[in-house]
Amino acid sequence: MRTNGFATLLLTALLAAIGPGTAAVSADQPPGAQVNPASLSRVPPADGRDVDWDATVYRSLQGNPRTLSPIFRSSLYEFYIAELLSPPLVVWDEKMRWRVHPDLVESYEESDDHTTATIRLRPRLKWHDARPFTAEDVVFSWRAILDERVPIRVMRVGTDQIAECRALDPHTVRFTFDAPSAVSRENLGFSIVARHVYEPGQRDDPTLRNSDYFNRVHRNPMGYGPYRFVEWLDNERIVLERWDDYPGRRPYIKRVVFRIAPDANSALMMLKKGELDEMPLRATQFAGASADEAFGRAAVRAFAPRWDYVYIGWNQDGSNPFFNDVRVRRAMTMTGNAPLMIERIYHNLVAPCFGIYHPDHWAFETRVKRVAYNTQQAAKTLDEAGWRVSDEDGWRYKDGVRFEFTMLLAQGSEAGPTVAAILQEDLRSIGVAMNTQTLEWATFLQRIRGHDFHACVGAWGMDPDPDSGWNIWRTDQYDSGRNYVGYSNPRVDELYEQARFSFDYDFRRRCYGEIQQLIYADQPYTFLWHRASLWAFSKRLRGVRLSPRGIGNFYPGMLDWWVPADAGSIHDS
Amino acid sequence: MFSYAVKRILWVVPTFLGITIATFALMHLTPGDPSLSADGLGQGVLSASEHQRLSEYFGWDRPLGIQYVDWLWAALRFDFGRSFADGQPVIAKIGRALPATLLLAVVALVASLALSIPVGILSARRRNGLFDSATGVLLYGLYSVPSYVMAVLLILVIGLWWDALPFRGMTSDGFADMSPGQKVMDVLRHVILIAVCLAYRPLAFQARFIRANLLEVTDAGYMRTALAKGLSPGRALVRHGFRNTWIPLITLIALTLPALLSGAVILEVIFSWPGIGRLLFDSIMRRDYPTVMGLTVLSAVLVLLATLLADLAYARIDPRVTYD
Repeated sequence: MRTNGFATLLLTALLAAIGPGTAAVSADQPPGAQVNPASLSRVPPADGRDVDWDATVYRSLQGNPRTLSPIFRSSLYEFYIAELLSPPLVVWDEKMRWRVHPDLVESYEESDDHTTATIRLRPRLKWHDARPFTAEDVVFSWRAILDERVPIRVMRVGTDQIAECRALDPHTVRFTFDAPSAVSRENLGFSIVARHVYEPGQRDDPTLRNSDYFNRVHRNPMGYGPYRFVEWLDNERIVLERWDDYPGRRPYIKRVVFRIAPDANSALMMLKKGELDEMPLRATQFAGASADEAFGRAAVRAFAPRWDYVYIGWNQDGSNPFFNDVRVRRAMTMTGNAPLMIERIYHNLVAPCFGIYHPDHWAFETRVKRVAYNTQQAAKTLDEAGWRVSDEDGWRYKDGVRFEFTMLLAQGSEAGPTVAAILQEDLRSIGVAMNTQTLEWATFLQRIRGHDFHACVGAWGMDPDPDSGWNIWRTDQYDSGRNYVGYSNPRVDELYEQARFSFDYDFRRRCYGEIQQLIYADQPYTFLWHRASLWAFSKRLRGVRLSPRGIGNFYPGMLDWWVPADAGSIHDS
Repeated sequence: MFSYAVKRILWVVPTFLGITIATFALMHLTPGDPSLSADGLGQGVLSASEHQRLSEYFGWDRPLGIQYVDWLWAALRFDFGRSFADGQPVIAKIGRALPATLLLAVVALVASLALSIPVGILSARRRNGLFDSATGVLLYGLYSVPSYVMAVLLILVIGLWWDALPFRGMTSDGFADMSPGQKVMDVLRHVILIAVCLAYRPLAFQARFIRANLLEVTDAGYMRTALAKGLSPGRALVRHGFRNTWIPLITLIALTLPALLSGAVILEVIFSWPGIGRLLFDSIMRRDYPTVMGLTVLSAVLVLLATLLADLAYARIDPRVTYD
């Protein structure tokens, strides 16, 4: 019930923010767009009678994908497309529960010691060129991804945890893991390519990339999923079409056109004109839509909690004299006026967070108490930590060092500048000087990866299993992982280890709950808030649900979307 | 003339080297590398050893000088390498983006000249008359409106409210199934709004430029002679006066053209136009060095070529200019 309570809280905040005129509260008062109307998520009649089986849906992409090769893919856009062309064998459902893909996998078995997993593929699976999809394709793909000669960036992470992958027969694959771990099975979701297409090119080009042969293959990706590839015009659109020989569940939507529209304002105008069926909204766009009649005529809004968090990271690796002291970090958090930041940036659409898990998450620990905004308390805490205000200039000093640090911001970050401005103001009032430096994204990453910063504003998306915090919070992840701030707590290290290799749900839950408490107490970050998925959908679209990761990357996702037969095209012009 | 051309072409070599060395150094000295770029998922997840493996693979851990010489040697044989982002040949990537940019540049340039020349002549002919003052105010006004503001305005009014023209991309969805005639019309409809945004500021500038140059020559002796011979003022202005404004105008065009061809990043983003500007922008953000270098060479060659052609054209247009 706690989760529902939280959702209600968010929705209340949301409705308060967008005013009483919204149709979500009273249907007789347009003018703006509704929020999460029942029509948006309505399931189609079981006999499929009211469904427009020839519908085309226009989706938005904010950038041109680098590649449509399943194994080389690395960006979110590429994942949106890949999950329709070549879906993985294991998936997350909309509640972020692990499951096998029901269209592809007949059975899944783990050995008693959890070191091997056996997947039996559905027998009638085929590639889009009508060749059979077999266990050999899975094995070939696993080898290709781990092949040292293939310059893969993202897909190797996780796949490298599978020690062995063997075809027992054409429809059965056995995976072996190095150690029994609760998260091993998540790694079975790697991309699969057609052996009969890749192997012939491999002899001449072992990189699977730098030859005209593979250029052609990757520009015309062939999969085995419910949609097949039609065309890709760079920076303009990507078109997919339902593949009617798919042996699994038939999707309702016939054609999917991904429009590549990098500018959020132009995309909004396309939506109003009926040229887009969905697009992510910025918080200001979302809030502004409540009074926008043109928006209200064309589209509705969707709001869903998102499993991620925005934070201020404090570098505590000893390279600066400030943030090694937990009292200083607590004082920083007390100075961070999260409610005001949420109001300014997020129009009160989201709530402050309690550390590393979303309240809806199974590992969330309810006993964590938030550090509240209180600058007086912060000043007192800094006094105790030895940072005292100088009578001469009003700034705080300790051992002759002035408390003055620089906050790194990534360019284009929605929250960064406002977070910094609000914090800077409050810090100045208690005698701490904060400067800001805004860097272009790749430069920003290089700086924080190199631990070359005092403080930074960032955000982490959470993988469904809390084990994903392993490479953020463990001491040994300072050099090669994501522990950029140099956090170290031996008890946290130990708990991650214990939880990873346990299969007892309650035990893992206790471990991860304790981790959340410990990390929150240590305040390596100032945890600000969980963001929300803010989306616009055209009024004709049905069957849409958002997961805690947004619109894609879960099952069934887009496969549930449908357009009623009497809705007409959004594209009459 | 010939020896001048040869000399000019020889000068192109050091200029070209300078441009490419500067770009190459700038690109590589910018912090970050291709494994850390903006749209990569799990940016931080890449372990140090994985990072090392990729660095070796792409060769961006070698000394800069060696990387440059390798690049130059290949580039001289028209091999610009393969993109770090997707392994496609750089030439192929540029080739896919160039038609959109070329079309846009030509339409914008032709449109601005087709309007600015008559407007310039007319306003010079009736200097400080109603037409001159009105276009003057209008053109200065236009010139001071940033093109991205104009873009949003045009999209809102013409694209959305009137629903008269498309404002997204270069083609409609059913493009592949259209007849050739329909295809041409479809592309032209798509190019209009973005071309207007790209053209109106050069138009304003060129029109005032032509007017000013014409005014300078109206008092010249040969104009008086022309009028004395009985030519109408309009005819004298066009036949004798305008010819003398060609040289500065050609210089102006020669310098505008490469800028047009290197793409208009902001407009291309607003109009989802699949041109060179977006390719360049994406490539810089992704630290896709080979593609950035390929595009640099393209625009360097265009600038050098355009100024060279302009120089040579002077001699054709104006018999008084000789290079011997």
